[in-house]
Amino acid sequence: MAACVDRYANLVWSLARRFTSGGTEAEDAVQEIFIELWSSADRYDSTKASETTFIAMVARRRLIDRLRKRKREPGMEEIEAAVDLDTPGPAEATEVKDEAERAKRLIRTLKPEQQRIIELAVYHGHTHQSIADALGMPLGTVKTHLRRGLLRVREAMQGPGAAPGGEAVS
Amino acid sequence: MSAQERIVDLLTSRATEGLSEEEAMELDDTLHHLTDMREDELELAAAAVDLAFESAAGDVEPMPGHLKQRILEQGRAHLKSRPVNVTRFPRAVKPESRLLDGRNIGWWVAAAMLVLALWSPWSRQDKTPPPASTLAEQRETLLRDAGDAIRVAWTKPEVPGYEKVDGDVVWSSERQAGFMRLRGLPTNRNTVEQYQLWIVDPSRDERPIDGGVFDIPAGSSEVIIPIDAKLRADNPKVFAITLEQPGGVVVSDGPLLVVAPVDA
Repeated sequence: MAACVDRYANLVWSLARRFTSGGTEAEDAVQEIFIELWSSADRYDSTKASETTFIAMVARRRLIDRLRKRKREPGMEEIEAAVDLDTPGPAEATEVKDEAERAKRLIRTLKPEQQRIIELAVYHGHTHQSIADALGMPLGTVKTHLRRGLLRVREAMQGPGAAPGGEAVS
Repeated sequence: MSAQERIVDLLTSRATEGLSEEEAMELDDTLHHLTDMREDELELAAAAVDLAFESAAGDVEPMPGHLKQRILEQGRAHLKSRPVNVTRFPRAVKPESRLLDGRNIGWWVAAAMLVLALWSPWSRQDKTPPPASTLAEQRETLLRDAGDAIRVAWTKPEVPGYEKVDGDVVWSSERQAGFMRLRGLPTNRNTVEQYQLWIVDPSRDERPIDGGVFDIPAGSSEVIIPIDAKLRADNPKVFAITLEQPGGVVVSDGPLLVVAPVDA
């Protein structure tokens, strides 16, 4: 168990810091996430996703719930500069790093506009409406890009060779 | 928009900005129409995307040591607490469990199974477990056999909608086991909210101990719920129930819906 916590603690902590105001709130969120993981481990299906992705999903689900409870104010966010996916990742646990590299290859298969919208919604946590406002797009277009982009990533994750430990479809 | 498209739309929202309570209920009601994917596949896709951007942005930061220590303690307590709930035993040893395919997560559960095996009196003698007793029988056995077992009644709740709740809590500090008996607690929708038990033990900590989450199924008159304390509770003073998000929380904002004070 200690090895497992060691492997994923930094990932969960980093996600929690990004989705919360930090400090005690981030610590509470991390504890909730690990309790959820202890309790829901039997939902993990190694044929559908890697362990790293499953843990990130459980963490994100819990953090998104918390964010909604905090009732973020729509439209107030500043839109961040795009993250350069070609930047090499920092020193991380091998499992996390491998999975991140695999996911980068999946994202590069998307149209640039979809990449940008997905980055703003998934990574920066902007609401669909605030993305629409910032990019001057109809809300429906933002939702369509998100839906198609995530479906594309999902398909690539399930494609030949995309199983955990294998190579992603490029 | 077809029903299928609407569900995918809701799943996309759930994977990115989350759902309102109304949307979550709508998804819950319509999810059975989803035919060509599993409900968590878009969330897994979003998680993969998040990993990629987080790695590229260099955002990964080490978790503070004290927090890591607390999580390890909670994990150990969680594993130890599992044998208390006898009804979970058959599920935990199910050989076809997909969990066994996993690498590290599988290890966690393997550890839980080992604990279960060591605790199980029949595991070393007879491979065929005796028929599991009902929760009502287990509760009676605990009351009868545990010398320190206490039984405390829920006080008459004042929170609107919960006035008719009654029943009691049985707890043995020696065995770290107990049961709640509840009548009149309203049914919950477990995809939207779940009940959570809290055990207040001031001798241990100011923060209440998580006693586990549970559901009240529709149509049930009286339910008996095993207490699943995540940490040791040696001197409980109050048992209380709140309604929380699915899976429960670490710190509750309340309100306390039903309360059983030990010294009342």
